[in-house]
Amino acid sequence: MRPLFAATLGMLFASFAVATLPNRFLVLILMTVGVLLVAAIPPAGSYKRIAIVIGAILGVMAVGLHPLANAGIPDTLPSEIIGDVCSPIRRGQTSLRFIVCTSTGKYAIRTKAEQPLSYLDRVRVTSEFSLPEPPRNIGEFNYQQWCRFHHIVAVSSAASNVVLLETRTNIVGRFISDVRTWIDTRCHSGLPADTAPLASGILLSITDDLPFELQESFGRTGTVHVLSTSGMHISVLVATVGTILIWSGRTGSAGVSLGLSILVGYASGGGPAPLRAVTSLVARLMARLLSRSPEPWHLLCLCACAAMLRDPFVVMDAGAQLSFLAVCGLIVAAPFADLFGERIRQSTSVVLKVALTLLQGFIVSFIVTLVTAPAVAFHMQHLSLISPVANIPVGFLSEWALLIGAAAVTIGDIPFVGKVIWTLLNGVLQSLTFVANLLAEVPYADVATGVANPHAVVVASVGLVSGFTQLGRKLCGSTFASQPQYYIPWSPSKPLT
Amino acid sequence: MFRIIFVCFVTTALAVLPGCGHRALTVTCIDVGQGDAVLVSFPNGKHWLIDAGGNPAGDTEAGIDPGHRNVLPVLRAKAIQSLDVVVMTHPDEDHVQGMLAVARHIPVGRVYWNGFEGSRTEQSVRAKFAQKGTTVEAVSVGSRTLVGDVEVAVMSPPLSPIMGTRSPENENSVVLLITYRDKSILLTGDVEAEGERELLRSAQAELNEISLLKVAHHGSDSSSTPEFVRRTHPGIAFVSCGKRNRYGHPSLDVIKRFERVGTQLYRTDQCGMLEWTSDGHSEAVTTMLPCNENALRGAQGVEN
Ligand SMILES: [Zn+2]
Repeated sequence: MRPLFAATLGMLFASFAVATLPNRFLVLILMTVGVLLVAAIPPAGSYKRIAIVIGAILGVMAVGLHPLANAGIPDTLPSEIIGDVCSPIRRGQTSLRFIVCTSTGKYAIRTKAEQPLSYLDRVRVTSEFSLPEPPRNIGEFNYQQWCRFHHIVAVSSAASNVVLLETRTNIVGRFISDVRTWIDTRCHSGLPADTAPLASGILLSITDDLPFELQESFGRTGTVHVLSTSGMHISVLVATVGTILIWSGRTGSAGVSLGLSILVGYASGGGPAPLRAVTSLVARLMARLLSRSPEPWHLLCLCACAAMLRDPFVVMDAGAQLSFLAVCGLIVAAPFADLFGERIRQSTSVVLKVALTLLQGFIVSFIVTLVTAPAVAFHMQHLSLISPVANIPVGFLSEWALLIGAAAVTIGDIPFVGKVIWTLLNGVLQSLTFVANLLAEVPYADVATGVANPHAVVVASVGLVSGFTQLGRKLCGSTFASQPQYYIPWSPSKPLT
Repeated sequence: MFRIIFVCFVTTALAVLPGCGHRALTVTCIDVGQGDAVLVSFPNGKHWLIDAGGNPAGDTEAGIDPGHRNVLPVLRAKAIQSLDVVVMTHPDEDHVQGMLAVARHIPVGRVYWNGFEGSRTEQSVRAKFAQKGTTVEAVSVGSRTLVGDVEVAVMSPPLSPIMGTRSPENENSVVLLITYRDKSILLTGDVEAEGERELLRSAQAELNEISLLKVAHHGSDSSSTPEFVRRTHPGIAFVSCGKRNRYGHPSLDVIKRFERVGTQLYRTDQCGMLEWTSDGHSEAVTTMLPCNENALRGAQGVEN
């Protein structure tokens, strides 16, 4: 009875709020966060899932009511704006792209590649501004909608003139931007020209110099996530540091990891996926410091709260949706992975161990692919059929590339060891390129989907997540894995417990 | 347990599987900026792609060429897994460059081209198709094929190519006439005045009263001669050209010629993607962007 009661009460409350209260947007956001927080508080119960669904519905309603979502088209566009560079600067072959925040809104700027600009600089931009254009063909990326969700009011012409007015000193922002630039430079000086861009892509998710063919190969094999800073990056780095620091004691190790995860989250650009990973890690490490064991669904809810508070539009963001769904997939796949984990521990033959490990990787990868499939089919309009297979070698190699890359950047200057590490990194990156390109050429690796109905996508996603939860419970006797964190099948390091 | 699995998979299938089973002939003029890309979807579920756009100057920042930016998204949104035939009307960049993306991502049954070796891009496209094991075949006037109950006839290039004009590549473009019951569609590539004259000379009454015409050479005044417009007398015409393109396409003269015979003119630079659908008797046009009567008539046409 309890879930039904909670659901009814929640919906009644929501309809009441929407119908009567003056600042409906704010109320809805607060309610969303409230519901998700309730879902995030232990102990677990079936009403939690319903709370999550209600939270999501409220979130979508809130976005629909956001003043910016309903803002009219401005009457006149300025020809000159003064504001701060408030996004990382993306460098293309012939142009720079970044966002300028002003008191009247955000502007997407494109300019010539020679400008020496960095994050937070105050600039004056003179250009012929125009409203973002709608897509001109079906299936095309909807830039107009993207701009609306990112609060961008206008875009500059390609020939805009940018004058640097003032270099700002936001210590944290500047430091992080400098660290990113430093890592990027180190990669380019330590590696040959053909693998350096891939290293930047994996370490910093900078894909500007990455050959388009290779990006396509990752896209066709459903492994493009290795090029965006995700939970995997942060978990692996923090777990490694945590493991190295284990001699300093449990508390010290967790404390350092805590600080590091926050820093890494910021350094990666602070998108929804890193924010999710950082929130989850912080909560997990806090729990570890308090000797408690958090449950994955609660962590996920907490992460959703953090993301919603940072930017309510995240609900509509394709990257955020996919990132959260992938974690859902990992959570529901955990019992199945555990089932194999048991067998792997028990088996004595090395061949059997390897075979079972590969099978385990495939099962987890398959479940995650299936859970994210409806959303991928909707947002990308194509779906990689080879993804469950491709994710095993690509995930494995990219994780090692991440670890060796981090080592190379930090200790790559030591005379002999440094050389060995860089060579090793180059080898891993070469193999990664080879595997991705090879798998991308498999016929029908990637199929067109043409999914246009968002409601069906929501129903299918919820259905798949609950279906696998039930299946996991029936087959394995528990909803969650024994590990109180989402499962990383190809993790070379032991997960944090 | 099986009930749960069943429900999950049915919902996924519902979400993932697109609506199938259309029994109409659809001609989609994809907006590729300054260039051409026409997708023909036959009632029996076969798909032909005629050109795939490209940047006229041939320069491109990888990934933003029309093949990736416009053509693949359309094919994906229509859940097209493979193309039965790809036609490269002629080797100009604005028609073939986007084919590289198509060749890489979509399995293609057969490639037709006009046999005129051209740019390096065109050669690399043919090489790419050959590498994938796709048959590449030069066609000329006289070839006919049935796709279900739709007839596709090659009207050009002529058996002895037109030479000695300003642009022999354009003049010898592959021209297709598609006939479905009462309706006929003429896809002209970039043929110019001489090629049109040759078309009218060689063709019989089948070129009279065309239902849908893809206007030759993006509406340039080197094509669509008054005689050709009068004879074909199209009910509907599509012009594929870039917004504020530097060639001044379509020419105001050409727009007037079509207006004079009462043709309803649609332009990709004003209306985005254009789609013509017919069951062989009635027909309908949809445009991607709202497109008012003024825009249709080409009242804002650029002076040439
Ligand atoms: Zn052309």
